[in-house]
Amino acid sequence: MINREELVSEHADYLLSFAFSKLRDEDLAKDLVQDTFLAALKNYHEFEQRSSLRTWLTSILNRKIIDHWRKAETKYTTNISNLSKNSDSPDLSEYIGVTDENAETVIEKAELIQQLNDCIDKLPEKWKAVIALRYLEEKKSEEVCKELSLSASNLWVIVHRAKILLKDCLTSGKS
Amino acid sequence: MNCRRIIKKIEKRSFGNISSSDNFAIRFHLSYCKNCRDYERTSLLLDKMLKKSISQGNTLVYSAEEKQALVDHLQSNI
Repeated sequence: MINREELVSEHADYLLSFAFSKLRDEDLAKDLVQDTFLAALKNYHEFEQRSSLRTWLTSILNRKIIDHWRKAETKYTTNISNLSKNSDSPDLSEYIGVTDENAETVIEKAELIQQLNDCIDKLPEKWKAVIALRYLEEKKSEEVCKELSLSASNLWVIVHRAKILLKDCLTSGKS
Repeated sequence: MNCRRIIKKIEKRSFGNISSSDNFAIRFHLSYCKNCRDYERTSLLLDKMLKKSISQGNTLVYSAEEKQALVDHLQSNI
């Protein structure tokens, strides 16, 4: 039988960071990590030890994250829709002062990264999921569609709309 | 080809899966369409920014109290 204290002390922080990096929601990440431990304890007899315990736990957690995303809302909220009407918003490069020469330095500024993270947090859950799978896990479009149960054309619409909203959010200073 | 279809192809290209004929169609369209050129520039910049931002600040740890509460919860539920 698996020792609960060892389980938590050895894997909880890793799993929490794993979940948080994808979900960007601390409370939700903690809920899913707790659910993962409960599922692991309940089904420990199914763990075949062909992989490490951490790999097995991570796969359970990953499945729970995907289940959450699949159920998540696709439409954007009133809060974010207010930002989407601004077709005359300034050019992003000019607004943040990016040129061909300084791009790498400018986009690494902590303040800008924080502002972008705040804007990402306003996106609908499923749109955030697309961003996590695309930019964090570098998944191909077919894999993103499969994991989130999206059609290819829905995926492109989400990516396009997300970028328009992020641009509007960044250039309106409403992060 | 209209702007909507070109924008879709620009986003497809950012995922890395695009044919050479689509690539040509993008380049041809961008040669005369300023709106799509502006969109492409913003899209490429956001790709870089998203990659940076999404990979930072993701480390989160439980406090000792939270870990104990988690252990207690696991003890009482299984």
